[in-house]
Amino acid sequence: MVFLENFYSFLLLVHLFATFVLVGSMTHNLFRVVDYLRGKFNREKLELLYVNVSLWAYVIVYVIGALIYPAFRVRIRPDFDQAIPWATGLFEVKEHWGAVGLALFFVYYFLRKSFQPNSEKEKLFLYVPLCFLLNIILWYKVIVSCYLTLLKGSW
Amino acid sequence: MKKSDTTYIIGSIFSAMTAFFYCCTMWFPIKLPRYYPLEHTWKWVNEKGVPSQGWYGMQAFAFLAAGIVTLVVYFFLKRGGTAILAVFSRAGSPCHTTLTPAQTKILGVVVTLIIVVCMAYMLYYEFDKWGIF
Repeated sequence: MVFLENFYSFLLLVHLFATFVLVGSMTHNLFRVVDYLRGKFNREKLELLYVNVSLWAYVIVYVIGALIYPAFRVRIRPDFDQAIPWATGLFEVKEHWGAVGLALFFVYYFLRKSFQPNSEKEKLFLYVPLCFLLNIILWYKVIVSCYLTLLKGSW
Repeated sequence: MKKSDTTYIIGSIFSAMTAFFYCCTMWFPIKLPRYYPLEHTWKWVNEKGVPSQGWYGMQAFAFLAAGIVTLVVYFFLKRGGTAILAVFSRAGSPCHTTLTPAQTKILGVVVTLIIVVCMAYMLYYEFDKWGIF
């Protein structure tokens, strides 16, 4: 028996729902951050709320993902390794970027809490790229996960 | 130094170092613990033919190493770093030293570049390893 194997489906579902919240809040955050680039700073509180929600959603997604990884490694990944090894490559990138993303998310959160975008615009030189990178990581993870699920379901 | 400047520098260092040290696990043969899910155990060796997970060890190494570097920089900033920054700063007195807008922008661009390069390398490493290229 692999760690948490009996709860795999349930935890995967929670992982999925938390991902919905994460992608929604972080994508909306991106729109607000793009507004900063246009010189619009009238929705800073809303943007900060998106950052708060995104951080905790990411932590939940990450912890659950790490917990169910052993079951995935033993029961599901061997099928990919044998039939379509390139799919494992896509998955591995998702995991590496996800780990770096965790560090970036905490930095993003504390950075946002420490400054006011309207009065310290030079700090946007790190804040804005971090927002774009986090969205790239999230959307890569979502698209690859959906694609791998489709692949797995189609054989 | 302003609290927001300290957070900016510390955050910059931690994010860049995490990406860098994560790549170090791919560049160098660093011995890291691997989890063996079928045996419920951790080992320092990579046994072929047995499912194992090195991802936990890789991220733990990256976070710990980046955390240590970040702590060193933090104490450096607290003790004597402001005096050194004052040399590069137009602000003058060390006790009122802040990052200039130019320093802030350069740090942001450099950190972004480091992260992007590291992420690109991770992509290349796995795509090359699994024959996607």
